Amino acid sequence: MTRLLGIGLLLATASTLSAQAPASHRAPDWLATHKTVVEAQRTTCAVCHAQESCWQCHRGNPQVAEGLPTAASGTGLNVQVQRRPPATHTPEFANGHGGLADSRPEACAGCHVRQDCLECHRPSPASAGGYHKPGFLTSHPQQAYSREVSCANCHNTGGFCTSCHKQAGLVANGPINRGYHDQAPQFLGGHGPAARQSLESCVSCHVENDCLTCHRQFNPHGPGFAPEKLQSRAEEMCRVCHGAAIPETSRQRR
Amino acid sequence: MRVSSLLSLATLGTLALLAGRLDAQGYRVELDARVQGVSYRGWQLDSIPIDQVQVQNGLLYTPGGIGVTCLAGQAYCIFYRPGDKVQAYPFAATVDFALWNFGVRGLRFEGSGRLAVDGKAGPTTSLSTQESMGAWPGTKPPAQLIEAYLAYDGPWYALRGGRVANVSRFGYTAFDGAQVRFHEPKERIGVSARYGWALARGALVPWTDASLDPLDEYRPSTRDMLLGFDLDWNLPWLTGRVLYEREWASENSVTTVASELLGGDVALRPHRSVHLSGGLEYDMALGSVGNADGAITGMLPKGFGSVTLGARRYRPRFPLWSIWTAFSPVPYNAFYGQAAVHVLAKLDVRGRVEKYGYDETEAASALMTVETDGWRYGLGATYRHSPQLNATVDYQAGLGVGAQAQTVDLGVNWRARDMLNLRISGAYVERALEFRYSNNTLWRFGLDADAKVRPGLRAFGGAWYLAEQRDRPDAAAFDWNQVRFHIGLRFGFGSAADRPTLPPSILRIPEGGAQ
Repeated sequence: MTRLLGIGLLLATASTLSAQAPASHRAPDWLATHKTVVEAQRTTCAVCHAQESCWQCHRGNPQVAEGLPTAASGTGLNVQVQRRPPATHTPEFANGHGGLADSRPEACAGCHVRQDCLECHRPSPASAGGYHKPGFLTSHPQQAYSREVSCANCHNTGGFCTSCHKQAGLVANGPINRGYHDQAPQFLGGHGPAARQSLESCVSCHVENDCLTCHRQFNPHGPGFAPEKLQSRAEEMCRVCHGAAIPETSRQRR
Repeated sequence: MRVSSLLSLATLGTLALLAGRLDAQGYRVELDARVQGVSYRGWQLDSIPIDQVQVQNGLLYTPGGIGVTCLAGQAYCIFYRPGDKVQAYPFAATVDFALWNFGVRGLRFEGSGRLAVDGKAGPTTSLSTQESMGAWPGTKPPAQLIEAYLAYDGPWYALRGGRVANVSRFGYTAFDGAQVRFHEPKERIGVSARYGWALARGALVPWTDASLDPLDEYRPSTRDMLLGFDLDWNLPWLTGRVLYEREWASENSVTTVASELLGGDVALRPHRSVHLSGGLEYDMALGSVGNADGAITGMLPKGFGSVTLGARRYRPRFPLWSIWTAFSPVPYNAFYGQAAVHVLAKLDVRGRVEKYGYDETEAASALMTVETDGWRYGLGATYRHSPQLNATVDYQAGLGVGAQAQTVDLGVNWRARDMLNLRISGAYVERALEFRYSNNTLWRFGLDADAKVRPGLRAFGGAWYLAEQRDRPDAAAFDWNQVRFHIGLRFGFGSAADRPTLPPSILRIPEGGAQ
């Protein structure tokens, strides 16, 4: 009971102190700039904070707190800070953090550990929700088709999209033009723009031969096609349609 | 024997060898086991003799009222009827571990693996193996080695050998091999190199694995090799990284490059309240820029919030051994703005709007009109009544190309310190497709809980009721309701388990627990 009372008293004290935190702690750039203050006024920080205070956020590199005493030393109050993300971490940050994380992994490591990244980047089949909201199964055709983010960064299209579409009866199994795209009756003849805009969606249901049935005769190459560069790296792929007779113009440009 | 199998055996062997002296070992293990119950309904291709087809208002239907497609000269007409219910119970047990104190300072062994099984087989078989597939994706193969590597950190270099995963601008790429990084002592600049056998993009197995080929398409018969280089710098006001990565396979003395990419990211902080970041990926096989993005973020005064303006470009990337790159997928370019503002002490609001449009496809046809641009936008708010209680509401919409969807999500979270988290949630989803009659609406109600059973052990679970209507202008429309559930345990233990007050993530770090 005495222990419980002690813990309660400590928590109440910490809560009160939190409410009386210096004004500097409420500055918008406090998270980004407090390192300089800590380095210059470590003793002042130690009046309220112990290493454990820092670890609430600095989970990935706890050594940054080495200059402060531990809570066990009893020299500080070990005020627990409210762990909160930087202002840049809006809900949309999950979709747009890639570039920042790639260029500044050290900054991320201030708070995050490797497993935090892998929670999303190695999706578990038994996880319900998480990066995707629970109703995602219903809405995913829109998000996958318009590719707000790159699905393939975390999901292999063969093992993830196609296997599930096969179970759901959505893959083309045999001759095409069976009327699946029934809101566009002329889809077979006019599918070109849709296919070039969202080819990843097409290949989640269609295999190469579905397209090559016609496109061995009808040239599928479009804007940005660089035959000499492709041929120099994957000539076997060219031979799928062209056989040994890869157009001479391509050869000359090698 | 496959490299991944050898690595799995090596990992298990190392663990077994070390088990006898774990008392002297620094170690940390986290186990995560979870299962979910989920079901879905797709479509079933069917046909009827053409003489049974009925004509109503000039359109063709089955006697049951489902629209059919009849091709000239064919005796049968084809239609899609609602498929059977597919029920799945995927289970996954994941272990993350770290071992250190081998008598060599800086040496550690880290890894992660998973056992994934589906309690029920799906209705179809893989065309490449003729074996039954799981009803839910991600359960093949059942034993999945995510990472397992020996790491050694020296004063100016770091080595990793084994199965190593990297998350970068190029996505999640893993390989079996070695990675080395040299850096100056303060790590302001560094260079890295990696070489090994590649795993498929976004997968834990190579492209040669049958689990990635359910439709029996062409796949290379030999495994891709990977070679990569990085240059990174970390200056006070400018950080960045340049990457080069090439994957190739040699088969019968013919070398086929699967991808060859050059990319980079830069983050600049010219003022303490202004951040600029950007990067791009250059596809050397196409000689053009692929995915790219850039943004400027300004922090508003007095912690009032932040505003971001940005632009980005997205173009899909396919392995060069497939034909898809030759079909010339075009990119879209987007401009967006977003803001998050603390309106009141307890109320945050946020918003985002994005306009995107595709490059010219040069494939326009008079037979069909296709949307070429669209909008995405979202609005949301969080009300923090107290540190224990908050409520969120979010609205998101995507309008334009291929499909449209709008969703409203509501949630109330209650947190009793670190002991118990409860969340009550609800959602409404509307979704329509551009090329198929399929207008879905979904209502969802859910309750989720996460509890600390004892230090190091958490239990979590939840149940949701989903009511879905799939509307079509024929008899193939149907209602689809289900209860989804998920339950799990997360258990962590280690040689410094006497420090339960530390956050779980610290306990997973060798340095965090050892000191």
